[in-house]
Amino acid sequence: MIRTQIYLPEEVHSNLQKLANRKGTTLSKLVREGAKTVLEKNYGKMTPQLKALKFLANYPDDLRVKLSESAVKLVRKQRD
Amino acid sequence: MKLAIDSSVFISHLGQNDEFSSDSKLFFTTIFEQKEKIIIPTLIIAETLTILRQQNHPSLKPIYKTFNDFNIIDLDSKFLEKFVNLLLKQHTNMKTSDLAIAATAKFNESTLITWDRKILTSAKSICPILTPKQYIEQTKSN
Repeated sequence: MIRTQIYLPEEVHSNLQKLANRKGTTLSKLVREGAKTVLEKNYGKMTPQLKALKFLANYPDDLRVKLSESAVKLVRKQRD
Repeated sequence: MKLAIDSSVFISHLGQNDEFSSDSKLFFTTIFEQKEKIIIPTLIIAETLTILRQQNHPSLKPIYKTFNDFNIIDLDSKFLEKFVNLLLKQHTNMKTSDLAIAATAKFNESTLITWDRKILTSAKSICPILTPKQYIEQTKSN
């Protein structure tokens, strides 16, 4: 896990602390749960990386460009 | 397997008339299915976007956003320290950019994937290295 510092509004912090006490858990765990929910809402069950790979795997043919001689050379032989 | 993908693979995939374009497309489908972990050095992103811009690629911004979703490896002072240690240990005639990319793969315990014939030979002593085609064949046989 990565340690990070965040600012929470006082009321949110206090309510989260109360909820944590009531549930017998920690404020950190609740924040992690919330972060996970936000990620799932935005990315679904896929991680950002998997979503990026899906984008590339399904990249539409009509958006592919005709490569110039120099670009083809770079692909086959060596970079600049 | 963790993979470091070279710009030659991205350019070949996002272009349409390279002899490797169809293999590159199959490579991206395969790594998506395999859910491989990907690392991309910042240098590769800069290089790929520069070349695509020169080819008048119509959708640079979505591609840049996509790159941002991968694990981007900065060429920072920590990298430089390891890079200098590598230079002191190992003699090489590689170009700086090639060596930086191979070193990034090595430091992140990744296999470098490239179509670049020169780097395929020269980086062998630095990190594991495969063409997309070799990667696909290896995945099929496992």
